[in-house]
Amino acid sequence: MSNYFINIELLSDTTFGRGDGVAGLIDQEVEHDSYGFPYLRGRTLKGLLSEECDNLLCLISDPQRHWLNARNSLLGTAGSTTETQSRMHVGDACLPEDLRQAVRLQFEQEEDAERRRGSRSITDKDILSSLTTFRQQTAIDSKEGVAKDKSLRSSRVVLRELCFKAPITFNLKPSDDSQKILALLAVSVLALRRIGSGRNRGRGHVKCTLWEQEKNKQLEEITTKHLRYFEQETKA
Amino acid sequence: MSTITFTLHTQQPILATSFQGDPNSDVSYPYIPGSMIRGALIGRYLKHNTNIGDDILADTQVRDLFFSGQVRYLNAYLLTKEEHQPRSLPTPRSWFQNKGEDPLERIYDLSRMEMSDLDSDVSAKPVKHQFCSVNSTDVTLYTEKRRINIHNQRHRSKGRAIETVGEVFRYEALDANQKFKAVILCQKKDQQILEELLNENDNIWLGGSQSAGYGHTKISKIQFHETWDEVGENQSLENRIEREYFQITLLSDMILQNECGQYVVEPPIQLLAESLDIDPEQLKLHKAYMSSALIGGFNKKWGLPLPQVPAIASGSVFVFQSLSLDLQRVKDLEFYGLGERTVEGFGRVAVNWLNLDNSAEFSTTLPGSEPSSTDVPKLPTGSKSAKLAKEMAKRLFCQKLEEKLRQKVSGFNIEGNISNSQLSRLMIIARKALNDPKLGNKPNLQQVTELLGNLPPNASDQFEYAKIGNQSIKQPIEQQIKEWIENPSGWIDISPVTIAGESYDLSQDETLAPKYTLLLIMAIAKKATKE
Repeated sequence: MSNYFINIELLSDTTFGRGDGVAGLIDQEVEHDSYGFPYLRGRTLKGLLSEECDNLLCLISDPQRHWLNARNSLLGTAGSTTETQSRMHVGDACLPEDLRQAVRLQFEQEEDAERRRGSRSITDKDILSSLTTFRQQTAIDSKEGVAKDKSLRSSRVVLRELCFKAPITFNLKPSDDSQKILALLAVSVLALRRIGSGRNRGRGHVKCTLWEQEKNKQLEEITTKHLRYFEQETKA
Repeated sequence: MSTITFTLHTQQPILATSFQGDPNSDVSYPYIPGSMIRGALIGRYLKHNTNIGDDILADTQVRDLFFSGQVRYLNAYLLTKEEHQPRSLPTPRSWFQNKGEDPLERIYDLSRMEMSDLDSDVSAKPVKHQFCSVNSTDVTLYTEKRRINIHNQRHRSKGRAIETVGEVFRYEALDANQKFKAVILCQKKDQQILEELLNENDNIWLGGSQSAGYGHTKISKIQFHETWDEVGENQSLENRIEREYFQITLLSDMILQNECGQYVVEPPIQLLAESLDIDPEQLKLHKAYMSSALIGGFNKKWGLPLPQVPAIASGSVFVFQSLSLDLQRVKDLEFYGLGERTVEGFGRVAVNWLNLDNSAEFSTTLPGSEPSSTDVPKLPTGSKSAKLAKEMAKRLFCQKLEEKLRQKVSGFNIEGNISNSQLSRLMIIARKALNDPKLGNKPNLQQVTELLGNLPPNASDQFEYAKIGNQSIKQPIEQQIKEWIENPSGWIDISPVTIAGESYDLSQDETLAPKYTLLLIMAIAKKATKE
């Protein structure tokens, strides 16, 4: 059985919003775990893929509804029954696992040292601040051409060039057309270019690719392979 | 009768929704319900037996495995480190602590003592930790970790929240990276098929939002037991049965109906009497510490929530007057449980639990978190992760340098007459020196030295007589700047930053100390011009 991953490379600074801020410091905090590592929630990523997939399906002719069925198998439909459930499990998009494990071990050792010595050299805030920075912005009054009163907002951004990886697991049924499902996922992944808050204002530009890892084999990028199949099938 | 135990290690948060919180929030139970484990195994079974039609209850094996009561799926509670009791149990509601005691050291069991027996300075308050493991009179208390996520509903076609579709809702889920101990009680004949279902794949998805970042769990340590006691190995039923009182503790929520079919929350006297084959009047209730809970669930086949019913909450304690009991009857009572939905782990009871020492007081500890390894974390040399860790350490070190610079500047002030034009001249030269094209845009401290050496007499006097320093020590500006230039790293006393085994300090970048020394000179000159 193969494992699949979506690789997300940040081409511009990005805010994976979490809906809150820190009083007196920032208005928009990024989603991060208990060790301070920012991540993109699987739920959000699935929503973004779903949106891109729906946009693509609007553009292709599908009289037999094959692609629509593949879409429903891939992403599920409304309602929580066994039949309508999505065949795909999308995990959180996180920074490299070995780095997070190493930092987790370092934190355990630091906590142990803190209990004995009463001090620690690194905290989750340090990890977060080493991977992020702040952006401030105001709203401009269109008539006056100056900043509006009380419009200064600050938000945290995850630094560009970082790479996040989200695991994808399939739970396909024998009746599912796996090739169409994978092709649809690949084109949705490729179409996904903007993520997070302020993505229509310069932030959150990303490059996404789909990867496959077969047992005892190396990780292989499969986006182009499945894109070709999609092109071939939808040309007519 | 046989028992299968296994560990569930949460890889993602688990959404085991209970009826708590606001309408727009989902709050999880503090454990993984047995119904959820049963549902996941039904899913696995049906995947391999595709010939079963829509009415799965028509299949005898499905009925036996999942519905008839021959197999019971108990709730998975937090895993403990105790060998005799690896599965923690709900804290009895008869346990009280002294209000405000921090850290908690003592617990008083009011089922075996009266409130008036407590010391006068003890103000009794229920213990807030939900789970415990007991070793004689030592208790370890456990609390599950939770993760709260806030989600926004999006309009399907617009891809964003709009006025009519845009509710904010909150998931309070069981956090990832926790271990729970699950138990399945079964007949010997069902053991093999359950083993196959569990071993099929160690990845299993439980609870809500399974396709979107919730519910991924790993199964490990599947074990089979011929004899198994829910309250731990060292508390066998034979030892517990002959006691001064007959005490019942609920190890899971219990759903009861009265003779009219109404769901009720009251001591289960009638059911107990039927189960023990005695007259209900023989069961004289001495004390009761109970609470209620609202129980629901979700049926994936229907795609609908189950009816909500009230239940007696787990941890409730009922103390009856002593009576002689038949061992086999009590064994059956503990194996089969009481009330409704016992297949899903409801109605678990323990008889005379914690009654072995007749002690009414327990000393408590919280589980210690020992590091999983004492080796220094190390990433493969030259790997992407190692490079990222190095970059993180560098950024953190630079942030510490900036903080140090701010502290240094706030502690310094300038006394004496030095004109703003001289200070501005110093700032301009220092700024130029930050990126010297002759040195490949590296900082060049020599430019500041040259400025101080080539000043006209009037300006030179100002740099010589004006003094700089903190409250206690002050020296001429010229002398201080020359000291910094001769030894740029002298004022920087910051320890190296290490992240995942990758360290960063001043020695790794020779331009850092001159750069921050020039920034210090500029910042002090700027501060002086403003003062």
